[in-house]
Amino acid sequence: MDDGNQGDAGAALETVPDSLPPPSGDAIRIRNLSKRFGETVALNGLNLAVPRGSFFGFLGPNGAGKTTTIHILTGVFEADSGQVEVLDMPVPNKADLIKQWIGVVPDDSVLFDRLRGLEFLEFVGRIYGLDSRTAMDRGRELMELFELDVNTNALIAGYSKGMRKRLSLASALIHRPQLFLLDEPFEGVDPVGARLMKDILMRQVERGATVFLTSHVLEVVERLCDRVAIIANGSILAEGSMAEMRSGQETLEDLFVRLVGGDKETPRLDWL
Amino acid sequence: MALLQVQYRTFRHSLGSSKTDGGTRASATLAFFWYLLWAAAALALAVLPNAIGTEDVERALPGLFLFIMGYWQLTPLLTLSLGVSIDMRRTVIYPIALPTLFTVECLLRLASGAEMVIVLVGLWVGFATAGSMNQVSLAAGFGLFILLNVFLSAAIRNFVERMFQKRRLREIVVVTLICFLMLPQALIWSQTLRGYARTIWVVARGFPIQALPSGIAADVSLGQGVWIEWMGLLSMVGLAAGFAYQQFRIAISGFRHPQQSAARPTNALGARLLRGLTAWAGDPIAALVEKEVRSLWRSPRFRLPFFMGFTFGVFAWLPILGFWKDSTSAGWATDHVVVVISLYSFLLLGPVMFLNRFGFERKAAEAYFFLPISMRLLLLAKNFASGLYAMLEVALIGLVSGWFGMTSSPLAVIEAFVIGATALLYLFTVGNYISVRFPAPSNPDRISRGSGGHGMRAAVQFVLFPLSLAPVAGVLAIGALGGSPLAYGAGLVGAIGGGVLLYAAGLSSSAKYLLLFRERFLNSLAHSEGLVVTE
Repeated sequence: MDDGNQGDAGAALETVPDSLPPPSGDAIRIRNLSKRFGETVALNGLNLAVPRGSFFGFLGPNGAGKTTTIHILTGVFEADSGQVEVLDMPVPNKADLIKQWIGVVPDDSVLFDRLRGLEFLEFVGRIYGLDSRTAMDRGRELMELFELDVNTNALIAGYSKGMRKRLSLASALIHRPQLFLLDEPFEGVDPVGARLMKDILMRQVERGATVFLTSHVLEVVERLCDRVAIIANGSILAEGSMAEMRSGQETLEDLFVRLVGGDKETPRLDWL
Repeated sequence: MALLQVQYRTFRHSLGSSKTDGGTRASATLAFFWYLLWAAAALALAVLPNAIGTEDVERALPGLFLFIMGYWQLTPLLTLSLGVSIDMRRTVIYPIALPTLFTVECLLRLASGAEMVIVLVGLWVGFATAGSMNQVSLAAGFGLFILLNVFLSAAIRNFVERMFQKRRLREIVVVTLICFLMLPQALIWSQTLRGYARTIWVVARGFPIQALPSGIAADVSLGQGVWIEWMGLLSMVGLAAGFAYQQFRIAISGFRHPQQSAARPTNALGARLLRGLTAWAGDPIAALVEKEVRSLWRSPRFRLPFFMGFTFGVFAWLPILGFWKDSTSAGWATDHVVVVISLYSFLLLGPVMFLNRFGFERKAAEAYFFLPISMRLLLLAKNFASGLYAMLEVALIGLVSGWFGMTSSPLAVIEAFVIGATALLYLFTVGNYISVRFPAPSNPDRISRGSGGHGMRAAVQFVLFPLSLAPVAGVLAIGALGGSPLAYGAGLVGAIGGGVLLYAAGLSSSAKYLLLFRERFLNSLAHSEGLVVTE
């Protein structure tokens, strides 16, 4: 698809007016959040504030608690203790209302395999309260925008990982949410697809939406995000603007590796 | 060995938690009694040659071997369970030699026929201790017969599995096969075709079963085999081994994931019809129902039992209804044939349409918790979609039964709809209960089905599912036993009222449970089956 088409489709999406009150304060506020799975501590008194309208990167090594945090923010998991507010509404008390205003891209593409891409987008749109025609029209535009309209008869089960991620992001956009919670959105996506997704997300931030994304890819975070938090072992190790994080000679990668304790020499195995 | 170890560990870890210990015990108890039954049969066969002499048992041996072979090869197809198998997708990346994988496959096929191995051991002990047998022939005959069955079942399994990769062909093949097997019953039931049935019986009786592989194996075992029979049996074992190895090799090298098959273009008429059926409910129920209807229809594992309901179901009940035709309740049986077959088809559809409603979605079920959907509406929509298919099944059974002349009364079909809808209230209640408490990941592409899960799930399902039809069975019993129309009607109204109340209470309870225990629920659906898949 050329830029012109992308522009048209994107413009069509942006003609739908917002219904949420004007942005104010933080999009996400987390205080002393804790969560255990049996003996494993996933989150250990986590504190975090994500300003509205920011592109927020949530970095951490595997098993740091990134996905658990997103699961709690989306209401999939329940916290053991602590307070969470999303768009000024408490979780889980107002979870039903919050869900109307957030768009989620889960870690593993959580898609219904037996539907076609367009059917899935229409389904999600209708679940978010769009009427069938609007959901279908937006679905078509999103399929075109995300270059998923090549084989419209293919079931999602036959999609590649990158296509699934793109469809997942498309479904998160269909109701024009105020907050995006994206768990590793670029994992398995080719550079062209990733560029497309980044452009679309940047446009969402420009219109005032908040993007909260987790990623292992520091380069992506460095390029997109204006604020970053680094999490390890369920606690925030550092948080600030990108400029603050990159102070001095240290790159974001250096800081990340130093904070999460990965700056030790890699041991050698004699037989390897 | 490593392959089996990995599977053992996967299986053990899936059962390892204390929460499932009760279920594991229940499952083990069921398995214990099942194999105890076969062990008792084996014991009887071990004693028989000594008790009554070997002559009668020797005469019966070709028939016994035929039964054993039929059970080993055909029962998995009839029960739609192809036994455990190696998941090719997970082994091809490892440097494991094909013969090694094939050996594991053969061991799994031996395990699939464990009941028959037990029976054969009993028989062998009986003959061996009777004293008058040639021990070498006996051991060789039994050994070759087991090998023949193992290789043949490995070949058939992989061949059938490969055939089933072809979209829709799998359902057609299985339904045709099963209907073909049920054909004699249909012929026997139909008065006009009884003559043909008699002819078939005469021809079948005259068929020399000694000429079958089982008969040759029996002759060799009894020491009555001439050299040509020995050669024949050895050749058959060799051919079966070659066929099995070839099918296994094709299965590994030519494996194509069924999900990669292209989907059919959207059926605009079907989509409009579906929208019309759900329009009254409005969104989100309409959207959920449409999604469910589409997803179920595109799942071969659902389509097969659905087709079987109005094909195999009708054939399966023919002889029973034929028996009823001559009894005092003949009129009742003829009037209620659609009801009886419909209820039977609901049981057939149970594992996919009622008892594990989130199984096909697996990890995708997570979406229900971050999308703005009420759990109550979700279950309601899933039930409504299942109800649509159930009513379509009743209509098709009515049509097929009418076509075969089993029923001619439109009133009987209307009654089947009412009774069927009543039964659904109870089936949905039990189904929702089991679906949210014991969810199990399920592959919608695999048309073969497992035992319905293991552990507590299997135990609860085993007890509750048939029990859920008790109120409707009670109503039908009133009619069958000659109760007045008033008593029958009152019973039906009572069953409907009870069903509505129970469904409403059960729906709320299951929805609450789903929300409260969503983490455990999602965790259960995210489990992998391991390297060796149980089907």
